[in-house]
Amino acid sequence: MSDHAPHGGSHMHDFEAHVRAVEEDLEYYRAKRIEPRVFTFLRRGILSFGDLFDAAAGKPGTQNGDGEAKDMEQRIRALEDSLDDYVREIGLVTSSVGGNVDVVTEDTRVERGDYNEFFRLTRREYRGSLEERVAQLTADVERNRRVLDVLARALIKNGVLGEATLQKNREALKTAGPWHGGRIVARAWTDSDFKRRLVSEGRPALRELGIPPGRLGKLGVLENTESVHNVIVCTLCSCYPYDLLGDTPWWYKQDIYKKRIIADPRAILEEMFELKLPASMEVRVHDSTSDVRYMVIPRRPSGTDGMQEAELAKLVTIDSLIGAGEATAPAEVGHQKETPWGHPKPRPRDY
Amino acid sequence: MGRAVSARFKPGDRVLVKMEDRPGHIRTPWYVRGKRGWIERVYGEFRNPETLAYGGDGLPKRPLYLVGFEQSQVWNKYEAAKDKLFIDIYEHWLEPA
Repeated sequence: MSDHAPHGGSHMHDFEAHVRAVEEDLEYYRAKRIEPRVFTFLRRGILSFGDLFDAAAGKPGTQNGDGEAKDMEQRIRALEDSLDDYVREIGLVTSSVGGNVDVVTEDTRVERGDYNEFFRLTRREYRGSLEERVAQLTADVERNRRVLDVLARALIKNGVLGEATLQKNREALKTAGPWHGGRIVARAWTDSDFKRRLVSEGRPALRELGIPPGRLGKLGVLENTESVHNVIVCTLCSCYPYDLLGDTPWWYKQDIYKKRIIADPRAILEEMFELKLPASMEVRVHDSTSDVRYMVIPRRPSGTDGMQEAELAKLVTIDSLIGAGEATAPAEVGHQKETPWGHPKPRPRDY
Repeated sequence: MGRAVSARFKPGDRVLVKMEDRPGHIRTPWYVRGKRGWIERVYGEFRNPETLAYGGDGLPKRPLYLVGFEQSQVWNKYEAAKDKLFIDIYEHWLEPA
């Protein structure tokens, strides 16, 4: 109904897939990112339960019941946007913790049960009708955001998190996001010198676009052509240029994706993303295991001659930046079909 | 102590991924251990994540390579002959092949 959705007006065709993606993401961030970290803080004496309760008492819970009657699509969009905010806030809080607090990667992995089932947090299952699940998820995203907010307040109180640092990082984060991917790709499509620099140098080339180069290691850029198709995975964890491109689609973190894409990429691309690659094309799977974070430059769709960069950028989907999809043809904008896993929603909020 | 070592391999060199099993924050996936490939690109030197992840300083830095594999060499029944797999692997996991 609404044509002013900030996603090129594309409609949601598969509510179930969107809601399931939110469930997966929310559980991932709760059980793998935030709650294990809280346990580490408690064990190290950086925080106590008392600190958390004090911080919670200082601020009443937010009531998000805006009473406004919304249709299912609007409710799911609102849920996705709220989840996005939660995810951004997690990145913000965890990256701003500094000083003498030394929490390393392995602490979180141990604490969340990567090596020992005993530690694994029980996964929450969402059951019931779509309506019920959306209501429950909406409440849960709010509750999870509140946990994060309380955690941040307690950390500030204990001097582990500086408000100034937080504010500074918040400003920097405003400019990051998946739409950067669209801008980068559009420039590469229209400027072959830029593309050459991007593929050979990675991040430094991005300064030309006014994009902060980010902190997370080296950037590998892979160009898809008529004869070569690149696709990215991180089988050991979920490495991805988050700081640059924002969050990944939910399926990127799923074991089933990781297992199948390395051993049988053509089949999974066809089944889950409806991307059938000709036998003559070479498929290159890149397993991002260490310090290099990868992005794909999808092929430029035909029928785009003479289009401006800003228009071209809108054709770039999140999936296409990973190689699990192609860029959208101009005629298909707003009519993208949803595939079992496909995620055409580019979330280009700043255009 | 913290001095970096220089890269032992150059692009095009054939390499074998060591077949080792040890606990820890290992960045070499199981499915390529014991497989043969080639050096596609030398990425430079990075702090070693195997010690960094435990709160160590990750020094000395280790050279990191982009290593290419033929999919048909990695998986028994892989059909499409041209398809390839690329993985970033640290030098101490590689030997000449």
